[in-house]
Amino acid sequence: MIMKKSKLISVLSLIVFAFLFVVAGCGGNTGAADKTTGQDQTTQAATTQATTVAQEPVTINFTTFRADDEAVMKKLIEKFESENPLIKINYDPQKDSGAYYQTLKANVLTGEGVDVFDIHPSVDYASFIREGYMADLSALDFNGNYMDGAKTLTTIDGKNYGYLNGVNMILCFYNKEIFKEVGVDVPKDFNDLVSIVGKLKEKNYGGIAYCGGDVKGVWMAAAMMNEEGGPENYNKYVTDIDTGVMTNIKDNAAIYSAMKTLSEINKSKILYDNSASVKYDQSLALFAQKKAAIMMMGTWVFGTSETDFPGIDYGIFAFPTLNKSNVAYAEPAQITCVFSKSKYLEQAQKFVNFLATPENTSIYIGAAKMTTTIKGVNADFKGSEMLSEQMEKGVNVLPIVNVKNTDLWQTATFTLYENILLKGADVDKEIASLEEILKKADLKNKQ
Amino acid sequence: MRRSFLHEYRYLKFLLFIVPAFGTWFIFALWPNLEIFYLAFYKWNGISKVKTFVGFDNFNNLFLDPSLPKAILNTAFYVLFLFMIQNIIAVLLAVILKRNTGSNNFFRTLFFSPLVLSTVMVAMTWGYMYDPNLGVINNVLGSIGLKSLQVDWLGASGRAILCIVLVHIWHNMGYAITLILAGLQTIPDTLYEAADVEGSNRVNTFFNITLPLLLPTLLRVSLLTIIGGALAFDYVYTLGGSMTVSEFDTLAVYMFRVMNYGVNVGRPSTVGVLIACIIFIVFLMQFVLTKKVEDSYN
Repeated sequence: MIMKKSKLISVLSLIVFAFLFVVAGCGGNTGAADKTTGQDQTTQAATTQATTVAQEPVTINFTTFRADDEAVMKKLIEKFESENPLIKINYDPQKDSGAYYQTLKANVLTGEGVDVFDIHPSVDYASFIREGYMADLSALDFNGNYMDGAKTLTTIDGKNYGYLNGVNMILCFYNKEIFKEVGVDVPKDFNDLVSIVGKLKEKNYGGIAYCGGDVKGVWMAAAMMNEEGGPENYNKYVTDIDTGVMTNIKDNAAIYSAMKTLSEINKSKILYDNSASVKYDQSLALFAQKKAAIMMMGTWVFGTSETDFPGIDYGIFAFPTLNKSNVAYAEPAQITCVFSKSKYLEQAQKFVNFLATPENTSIYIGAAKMTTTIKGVNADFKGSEMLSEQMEKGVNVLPIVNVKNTDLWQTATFTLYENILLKGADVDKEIASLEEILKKADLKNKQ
Repeated sequence: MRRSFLHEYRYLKFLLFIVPAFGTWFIFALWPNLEIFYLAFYKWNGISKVKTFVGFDNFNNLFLDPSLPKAILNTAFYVLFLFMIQNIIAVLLAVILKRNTGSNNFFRTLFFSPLVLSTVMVAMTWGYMYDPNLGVINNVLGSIGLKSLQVDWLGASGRAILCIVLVHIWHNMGYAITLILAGLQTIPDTLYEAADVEGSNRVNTFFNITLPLLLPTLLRVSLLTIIGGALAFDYVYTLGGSMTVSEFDTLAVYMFRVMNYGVNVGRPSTVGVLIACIIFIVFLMQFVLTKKVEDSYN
């Protein structure tokens, strides 16, 4: 009797556990090979006949990580809905970009819950296109007003999959009052910058505030590489590493020169003390408290300058490399895309088209304080003149690189930049060390 | 007959009662953690419907990554500092605060109070304090004439780990003290009375009575400390760089950074497997040690 009872309990327990396993397995990826390529899925979505014009209101989901834009975006959505009474926008901003991407990826996998979304101009943009989750926006009206540089950025394999909302330059902010007090002006070149920082230090204004504690060497390296050789050369550099073609980094003269610039920045000690540990907020504080007369920062702070560094009359200049001056570096802001499997493809595309008109872009740019990518936009905010002036001098925008193996080499490149810029390591030794790592990674056979 | 059936199989109803809770825990907590053992053998970008089986490729690439040895070393230092400093201080404080007096109750509350604060908030606040240029620590040192002690607290790897561990200890000391206090309560007062009668001083009493009888509790607290140190994330991530790999990243933070590259979920899964194996070995060692200690008392 006791034997039978324990056996029965064991059997029942096994049934319960088996049930739990089955339930846990339900709804997950089957892992079955799906031979349809990303491209085919996109084509399929693009050629799918547009959904019939809705007879009753439809609601499309718009999700973004740009929670800071909530006020202006709500204004634009209200405007869109008043012009399109049959389309409602369910706006879902998420401040935490980690959580945002987890939710977005889960939504695209299930095919539910997202119609229009923002994405960083990073490897994710290219991955989403490869997997066929982005609708082709090439035929939309906004492409007529879309600047060529921005279009090049968001176009992959001849198709434009997104609307780049703007670009943010990363350059030097300077305190005009302190510059006048010390009797210096905007540097003409790298040597001039070193001399100016020396004079500022004599008057206890420290070096250039740089948030190395957060960005390590990445910002400065990206700026130097893009200013020196341009986005196409940077794209080639990154792609060559990813595909295993790169064997000798010195062969790319512009990249090597950029590394040399990083080394000179370290040797000249023009960065603020302990920059390796200075965080983003702390670099703003150094500038705000007038302990640093120059700060390397993104122009997104135009929107928050009254709270981040109130009362500071500031100007901007591009951080010069050893060979180039005046050309600034910019990073693309968010790209607005349409989910290719959206049930309301036409309505979603209509919304993106609406956002990208000159009139609505002016409203957005005026609030977000970015450099626009749409022609005919009148940007009217504090700093817009400075941005226009710099645009005329020249701006190189970080390209979106279509790579697949960043997990195998990106840490090593970031370490290279950090060691040269913040620890004063020898450029040639560090490059040799990186090349050794790349060789072991055998990237040619990882395609 | 019927009564006998209900009586014999009464355990079934207990089983049925725990199934919903167990099922929820299994599906939302245990299963996702077990899935890393599966994903570690695949290359998957997290959004594709296709996962590519790559065998041990992810593990090979993990061990080729020069950041891994640094992360393991940082984790080892973190655990060592945490284990030694926190446990020693917690034992001493628990012994001092054992009696139920008004002042002891006040200090117990004081030591426990940081636990109510969020980890990120604590780490951010200490981050501002540790700032080498504007932080209060360096400013105070400068104002009292100790400029030579002004350092970049989070600059060098070893010093940074120690500083972060001190934040961890400051935040969690109350928890360790509470557990050890509970262990101290199980030691009969008669033993202390007998020791008093025998003329034993406080130090002898501590080493010959308190510490040996506290050993099982200490082993359990040690295990929690080691696991807490091995999985240290919040403090390290908040105090370290937010954008890219930092010199003092522990294994958990390293796993998060690798995950952020977004191109292969298999890579961070391998780190997860590595961490799980290390903790399992530590757990086994602790289990064997605890059993031996308890058997020796029996």
